[in-house]
Amino acid sequence: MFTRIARHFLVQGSFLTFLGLISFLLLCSQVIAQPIIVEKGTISVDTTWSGEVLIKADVEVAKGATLTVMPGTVVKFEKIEPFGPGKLYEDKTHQFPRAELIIRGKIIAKGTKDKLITFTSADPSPKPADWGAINLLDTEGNIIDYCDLSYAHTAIHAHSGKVTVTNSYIHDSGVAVGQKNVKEFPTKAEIIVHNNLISTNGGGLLFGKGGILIASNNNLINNELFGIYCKKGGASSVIKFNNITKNGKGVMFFATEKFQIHNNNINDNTEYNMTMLEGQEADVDARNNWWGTTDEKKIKELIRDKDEEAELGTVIFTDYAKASIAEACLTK
Amino acid sequence: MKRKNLIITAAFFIIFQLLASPSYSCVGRVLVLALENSPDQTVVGQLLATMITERTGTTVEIVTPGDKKAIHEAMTTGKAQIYINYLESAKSYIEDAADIADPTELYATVRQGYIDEFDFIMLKPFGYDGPVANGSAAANASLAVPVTTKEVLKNFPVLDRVINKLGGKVDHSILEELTKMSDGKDLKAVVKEFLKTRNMI
Repeated sequence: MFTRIARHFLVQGSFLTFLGLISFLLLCSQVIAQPIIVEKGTISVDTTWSGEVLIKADVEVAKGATLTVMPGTVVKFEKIEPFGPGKLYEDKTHQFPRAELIIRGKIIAKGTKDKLITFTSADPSPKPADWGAINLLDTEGNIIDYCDLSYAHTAIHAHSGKVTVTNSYIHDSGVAVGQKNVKEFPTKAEIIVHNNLISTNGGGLLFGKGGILIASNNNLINNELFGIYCKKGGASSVIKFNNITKNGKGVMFFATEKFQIHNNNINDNTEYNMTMLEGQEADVDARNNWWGTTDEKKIKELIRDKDEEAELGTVIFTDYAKASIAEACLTK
Repeated sequence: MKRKNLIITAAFFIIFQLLASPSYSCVGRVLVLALENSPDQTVVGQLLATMITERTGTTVEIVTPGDKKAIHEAMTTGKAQIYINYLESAKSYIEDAADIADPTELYATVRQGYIDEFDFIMLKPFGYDGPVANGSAAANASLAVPVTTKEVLKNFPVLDRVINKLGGKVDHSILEELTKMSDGKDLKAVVKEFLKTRNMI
């Protein structure tokens, strides 16, 4: 096609016109490649992002507005001064130190297998916590699907927010996904985390204060401190078919009650496969998991509970799986 | 001997700089531990930080704001949440404690004074006298005590329980042992191993 047009111009003797057209197209492509610059402020109407987006400070999606992020979009956050002039709020309880995407309305970030949506740092030498979070405040109906999130403080954090996180790769952040309920917000935190690779973060999934976590078919691997950290509340959570391996600690518990965790592969974590922190006084029902061995003594060696410290509860690990749980893997 | 002490002290300062920038200082909730730039506080501070992180899941960021006055100011302004003080230094802030010589009475009086004056809570003394320089306690050495605030204990309800588990467990010989063990090694790893072998984490 291009050859035919070129020949037409050359045959007609309009070589200069042809060069002009080429220059015009090149200029257009440069204009198109410019990133969308998003300054500190609030998005109050439905908005769609595509191409490259550079976030320069805190950006909030207001209640009633939806931010749609198209497949293949690359969203980069500038590394701003912690709690400096780039922040929208002075409150440090529900905000992160550096630039964040605060969602009070809704975010729909649906990439595809071939065109992931990227959320990352704009810094040339990126580090964990270069940017804050996709911070969901009192909101529901949010979707993060086929995304690649890196170098955040907490890549996705729900303060009384509801979100589904699927098919994504979350890495090199402080914590991959966190949540808690906030008294003043009516929405109850609920995160569905399915079929994600959560790797090389400080911690994988952190939840508590009554939040519900439904975590299935995730690979939680090589997170420095923990794979999953379950804090106070969260008894209705479901954690199944996950591979929780090679983290500092596999699963940690603090002040939970009636907690159950079944049908996961929890093995080869560096310090403990499961540990109870100070204040975890209730027992945890951790039957039917695969611990990497059928030798009970070896299983126990990597569990810290009442046997190590009298004030703690007991990890009940009877009826342990005799082999790796086959369903515990990424589904596609 | 002097040269050896100099090398040990230099090693401490290098380790201290490394400790000031943990790989993940952004995981979950963060407590800031303010330390003096001294060999004993470097070791005991790391013990404290490891104990807190391992037993509560809270990240501890170690900072060195400067002298005692700077640390006190960091605490009163909320920039730091825990520090290590020595009873003799602490008593200079409390008038009633000026003439008390008995360590037990002094601890009780200064402890109450800190609550009344600053809302600071002194926890159980570690079990050694500091500051320690060049391997020996200074002439005016006195009980080393972890200190936090009422507000911090309200927000971190099991913190006092965890810190108090180190109470009376770090005497001069332990301090010396840890100092020797960490010579040329990663202090963080040495301290972790030490706590693990004692079943404390």
